[in-house]
Amino acid sequence: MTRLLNVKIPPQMIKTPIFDAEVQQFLCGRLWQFDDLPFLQDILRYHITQKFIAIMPGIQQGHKPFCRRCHNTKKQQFHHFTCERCKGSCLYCLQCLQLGRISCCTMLAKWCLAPPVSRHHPKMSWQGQLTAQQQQVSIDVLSSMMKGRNHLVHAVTGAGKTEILFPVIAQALIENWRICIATPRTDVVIELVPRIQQAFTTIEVQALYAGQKKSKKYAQIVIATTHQLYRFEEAFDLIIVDEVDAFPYSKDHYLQHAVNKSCSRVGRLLLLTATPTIQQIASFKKKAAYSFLSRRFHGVALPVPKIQPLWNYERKIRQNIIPKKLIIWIEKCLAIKAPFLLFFSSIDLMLAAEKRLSQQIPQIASVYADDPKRHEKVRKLRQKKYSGLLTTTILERGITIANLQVAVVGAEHAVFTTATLIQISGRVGRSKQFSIGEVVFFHHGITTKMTSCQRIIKKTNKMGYTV
Amino acid sequence: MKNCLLCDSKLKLTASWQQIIHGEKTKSICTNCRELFEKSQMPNSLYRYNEAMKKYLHQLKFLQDCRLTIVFAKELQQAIKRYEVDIIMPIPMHVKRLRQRTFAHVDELLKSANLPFEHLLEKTTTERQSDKNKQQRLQMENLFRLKPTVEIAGKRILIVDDLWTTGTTIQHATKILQQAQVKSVHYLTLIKG
Repeated sequence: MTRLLNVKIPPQMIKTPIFDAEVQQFLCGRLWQFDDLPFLQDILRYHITQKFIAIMPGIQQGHKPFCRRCHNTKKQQFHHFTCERCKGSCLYCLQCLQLGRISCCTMLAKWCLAPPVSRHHPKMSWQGQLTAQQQQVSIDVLSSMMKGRNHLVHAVTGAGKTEILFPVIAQALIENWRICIATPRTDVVIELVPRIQQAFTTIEVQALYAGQKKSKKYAQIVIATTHQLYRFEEAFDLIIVDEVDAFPYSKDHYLQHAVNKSCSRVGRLLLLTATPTIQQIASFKKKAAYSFLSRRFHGVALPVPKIQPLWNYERKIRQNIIPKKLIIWIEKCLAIKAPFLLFFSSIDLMLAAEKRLSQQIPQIASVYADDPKRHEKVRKLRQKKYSGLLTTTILERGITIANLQVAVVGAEHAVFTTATLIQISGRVGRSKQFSIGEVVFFHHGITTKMTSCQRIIKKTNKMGYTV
Repeated sequence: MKNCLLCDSKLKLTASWQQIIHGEKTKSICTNCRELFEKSQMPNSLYRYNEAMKKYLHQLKFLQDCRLTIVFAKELQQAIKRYEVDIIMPIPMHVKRLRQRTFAHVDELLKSANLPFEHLLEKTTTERQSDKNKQQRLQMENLFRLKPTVEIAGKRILIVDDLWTTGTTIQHATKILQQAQVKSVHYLTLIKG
């Protein structure tokens, strides 16, 4: 067994490798639990003896345990137990447990030969037009990609980030690269798949996220949640990470590591965000790999949030009273028949407000992260079956509804960081028809986060219009 | 700092003197997660099968997170103390299944509750109960056989299992034990489906 570990045979040494194309298609680029491979044992055994598949223990034990899948080395992130398979002490990784347990006696499999050759001719069926600024950014990105350099695109909310990707992906397909579009949010994956597939009809596009049906096919374009990249190793030549600043990716360095390790040795990263950190901007600017898209695709300025006091809102809502200013704001939205979103800092405060508000205003609902009907409720808001939604920060990004109006109740709360507030403000005025709208931050005491959000939006607006 | 085993939120660990003197274990899950479990009204089970319990069993049995056996240790210990029995017997797993799962979850539950137990039966089939409907379960041959060398005549026995769905497993085990002329058979399941 140990003889097989990490052995790579150069493909040219084997004259005519005869292997199962299905195994190759599935396993190429992946790092998969051997017991979970969807193939017959006999087929797999043949591939192992021919050294087409390398197998290795899931956890390498040395003076420090090392998880082969998530590269975790922290001792406290492993759990020791008595294993009936090893007949003794064994340990498993707690870091990537949710993807299926990796222990010392779990074997991981990896494809050692060349990837399958794509016979399809890449053709872009997307016919849209980029604005001059979008075009400039995509040229910058392409030049970075060709030099094998990572790149950061800073684009304001509603600037049309996905459109910039189309020429980049088209070029990457001509180069025969394998491409991954990764994002921390499942909602974004679901939204992106049909758009990308429509733009590149001849290419296999695969979606990967928790709970979806698994396909055995090899896809040249993979759209996945960042968590899924734990299961890949040196697989992609181009990884596009959308919403790099979104939770949990921004805080979780294991996830960031997973993205890096699934990138091939010559691969490059393209990061997209509306709210990069100062450090990110500085480090990418140094390498001249930073582009800024300061104007929305329709050319109208970003709505600047208004800051209004709403004193003692929390006490009032808990006492089952809705503050008058808030009622007036909601009625204004109802009068112009515009859908609205009310952001709350916590679920229980939101539910208390919903209880009282639903007596006064028909057709409202609330959503939060674990709400099973979340997608349905958002769809109903889009179809105007609801007049408004109460929400936590879960809807801060990735949602586009025409003529939306937004208010934050309790903007002074710690969950509303500057980035969150910018994202929330960016929900408004995203369509050509309704390019303006209202954003109000109701607060019980103003914070620097609110003012800095206002300042940043004003500054980008200015930049967008002097260029 | 310890985190909740189920939701990974930070736990506030303030051990009281009573806990320290009696050597009680510190918390393993947070109060929020604890509240989601529903106590059962039935005499022979501790909890009802609900969403939270489904998630718990998924993490324990499917994801094989054997840390979770500690969650109900105290409750199980208190419940089993009430029975006056000679032998505590967890429902066994088939050797093949055991190798697949790498640990016997019912045994581990009892171990973490600090209770002595003894295996009297062997499982004869590797088929999973959860793949069958009630009709199929009733028509099955006995799932167990007695281990060759055990002497249990005249003993009082408590059968322990994780989940009661139709009761077939417990029935089969009881039948075999009664054929071996034990004095009495009781049973306790952690969850009633």
